[in-house]
Amino acid sequence: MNKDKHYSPFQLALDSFKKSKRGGFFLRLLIFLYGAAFFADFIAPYSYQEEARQHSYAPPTKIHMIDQGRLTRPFVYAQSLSFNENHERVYREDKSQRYSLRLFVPTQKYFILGIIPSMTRLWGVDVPGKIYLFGTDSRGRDIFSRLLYGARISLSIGLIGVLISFGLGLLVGGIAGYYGGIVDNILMRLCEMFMMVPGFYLMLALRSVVPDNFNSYQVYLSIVVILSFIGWAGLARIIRGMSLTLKEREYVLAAKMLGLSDFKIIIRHILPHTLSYSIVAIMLSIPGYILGEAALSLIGLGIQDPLASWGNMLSEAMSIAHIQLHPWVLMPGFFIFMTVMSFNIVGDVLRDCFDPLLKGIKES
Amino acid sequence: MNTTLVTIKDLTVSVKDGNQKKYLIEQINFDIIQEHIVSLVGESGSGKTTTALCLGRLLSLALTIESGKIIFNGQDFLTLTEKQLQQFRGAEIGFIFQEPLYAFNPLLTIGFQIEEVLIAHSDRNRKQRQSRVLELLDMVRISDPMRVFRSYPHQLSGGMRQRAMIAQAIAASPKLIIADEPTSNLDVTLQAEIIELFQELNQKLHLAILLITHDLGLVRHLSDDLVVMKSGRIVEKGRTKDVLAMPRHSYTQELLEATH
Repeated sequence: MNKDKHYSPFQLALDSFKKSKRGGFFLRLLIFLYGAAFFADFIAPYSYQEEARQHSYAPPTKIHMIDQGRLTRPFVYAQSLSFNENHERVYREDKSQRYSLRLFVPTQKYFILGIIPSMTRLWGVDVPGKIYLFGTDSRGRDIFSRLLYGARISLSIGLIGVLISFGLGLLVGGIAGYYGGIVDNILMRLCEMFMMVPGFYLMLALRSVVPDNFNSYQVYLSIVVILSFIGWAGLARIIRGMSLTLKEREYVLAAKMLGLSDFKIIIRHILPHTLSYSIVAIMLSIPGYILGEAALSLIGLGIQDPLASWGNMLSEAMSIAHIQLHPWVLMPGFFIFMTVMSFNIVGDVLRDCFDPLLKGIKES
Repeated sequence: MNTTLVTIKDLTVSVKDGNQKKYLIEQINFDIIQEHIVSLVGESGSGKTTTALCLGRLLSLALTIESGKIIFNGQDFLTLTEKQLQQFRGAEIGFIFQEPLYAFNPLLTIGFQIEEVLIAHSDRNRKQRQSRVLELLDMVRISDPMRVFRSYPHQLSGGMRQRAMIAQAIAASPKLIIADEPTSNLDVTLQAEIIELFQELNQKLHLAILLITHDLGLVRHLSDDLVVMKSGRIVEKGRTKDVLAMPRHSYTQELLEATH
């Protein structure tokens, strides 16, 4: 380590995080997923509401590289739908029509991130061909594109929800522990009221309070608020316990002696010492928010069609017949799984990095 | 220039022990004269630190001030509200703790923690604050202020940390510094340097210093006045020279013999 530079305990923890291969890989995976969600409208070949009814439940399109024994640029065949004797959908490739895969295909004018006007998307096939990387849903919408758009909602809900509930939890816990006495009593009883009700029922109850005539953005925001309302109480209790012991440290007495205000002491001299715990707790609780949104949307109380979220896309996979015939509708579930697992592993590795007792024992 | 800065009058502090009250300090009286160094000596548990904490009104919740008055610069200290106290602490009274390693927040740099005092007690802007901090560090004879400014507490040696804490205590130019056994964790050569520093600050900045210590050598060398405590009471007080030359109370005599 460079002797001239000064390292804070956080930098040391980050340093050992960087050395961890497991943590690095899953962190990159998360960054990749968030990046894809961010640029969803450029990367997705179609918009989330573009439907082609004649292509409902189309399987993932095959991409061909070899034409009559010769290697060519990738292309796809047109697909035609017919029904077999059991009235099941059968898609056949129409070898007479082939469409090349291209980068930067022209499309209708749209706005990247809602600001930058653009006439091209990153990739696609020649019109009127269609490419469905992960197949289509009942209304013939491209699942790959909808996954990207849905990621915007599903992934951001976790982050925003965690920010709100942790802000609240840290503040309430810090204040309760620092002042003690009556303040502590009132705040902690309030927390217990929230913790008493099982999370899912509380979520449903809060959701039923939200008016039906909300537009999709208001619904989105209300879901974020609902989810963060459930999460803060548990954290507040733990932070309160830590702040009870931290306020007895001599540097807190010293800070009081210097004439700092209570608020500054809580923010600068107490809460930062809980961060090594709360950063890990944040990472480990984001999956809860993602799953919460997915659960609400799955039962139709969350994000409404045609807007995509991973949860409401999964509602297509609610019957066993669909899963048997069109297994690709389960794709959002796979992405939820990947994201949740990544957050858990990154959180786990971070915990090891922040725990000085584990240092040197385990080099993962 | 012999005006009184602090008067402590009949101060009594008690702690609740079941249904009984125990007295940690009983009826103590003494004055701190401006620009004087007053030593408070006594065995462990005699109420020295409690007295010091009373001066910042920072007793733990279990302890209560039963009666008495602390008059600081003409103001009755015990009637101030919490808000007024915040303006008082740091600005009028600086505190130096025994173990600076624990008295600094390990997550923040030394520089920032000194700056914090200036944020609370002055309206200097960021640049002025930083140059003031460097000036303070220089004043306590830290040879490389820039490095110390950016260091975290654990990166400094004990002596450096002690100096940094003195810089923090004098940052808002208080009139009184309370030093709670400032040298007992340092080795002998460092002790000598810190003592010198106290003397210098006392003269340069016209500070009154309340020195809490076991070390009679330090007392003899440094202080103008001496207060001797035992079991929560003051057993002897007066000019340091007089008390040490002719100790009247048996405890003071024992203390003197023990250190010879």
